[in-house]
Amino acid sequence: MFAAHFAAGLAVKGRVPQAPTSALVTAVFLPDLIWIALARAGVEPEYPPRGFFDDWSHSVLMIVVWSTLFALFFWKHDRIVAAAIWVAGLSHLALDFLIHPARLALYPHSRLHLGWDLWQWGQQKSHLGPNHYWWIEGACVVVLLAVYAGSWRRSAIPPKIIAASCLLVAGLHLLAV
Amino acid sequence: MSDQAVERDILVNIAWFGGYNLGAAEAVQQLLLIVIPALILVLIHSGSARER
Repeated sequence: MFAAHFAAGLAVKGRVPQAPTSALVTAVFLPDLIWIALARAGVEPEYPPRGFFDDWSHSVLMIVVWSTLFALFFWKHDRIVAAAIWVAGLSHLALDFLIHPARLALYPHSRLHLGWDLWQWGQQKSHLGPNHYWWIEGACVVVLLAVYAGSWRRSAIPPKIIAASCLLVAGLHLLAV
Repeated sequence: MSDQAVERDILVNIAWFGGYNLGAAEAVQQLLLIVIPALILVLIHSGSARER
């Protein structure tokens, strides 16, 4: 997923507005950023046409580890912010559990894989135009942006900032049609 | 790159790394896809009193 990860970061931002946006966005994309580095280095290579190996960046255990390590940087500064960043990191697990090119390994090289095996089905075109994957991610984006926008009173984030952020993330998803 | 060259590249990578690793251009592209919208979001929120 792509836009849905941004939306997850914003949803957390709405609940804990004092959490730095830069840290939240980094946390939600941490497994993907690690994957880019490891895939470039050949540690997580693709195996065409079977799929790819991403256990070090995307297994359940490693997402928890990466999120925890990143959140620990903020622990001394503010524990609520650290918890928010931790939750933002774990949101990657929740979203990729739903749909991902390969089911998530429990830990690196584990035989046990978790998550729904919806990738192939997701690539099929739906009756409404875009593929199923796009609609699933779209539903996640809508729900998460609603959580973000719904907390505008409590968070005191100006409505124009909320509107601009929602437009950006919705636009990113629409570009992926 | 021709299809044959891509196929050879994949085979060489599988031989060396056990698979096909991400190319430099592809890695930069993937990174920018995340970093550019992220920077815009950070910029948008920098106007919020909580961020200042």
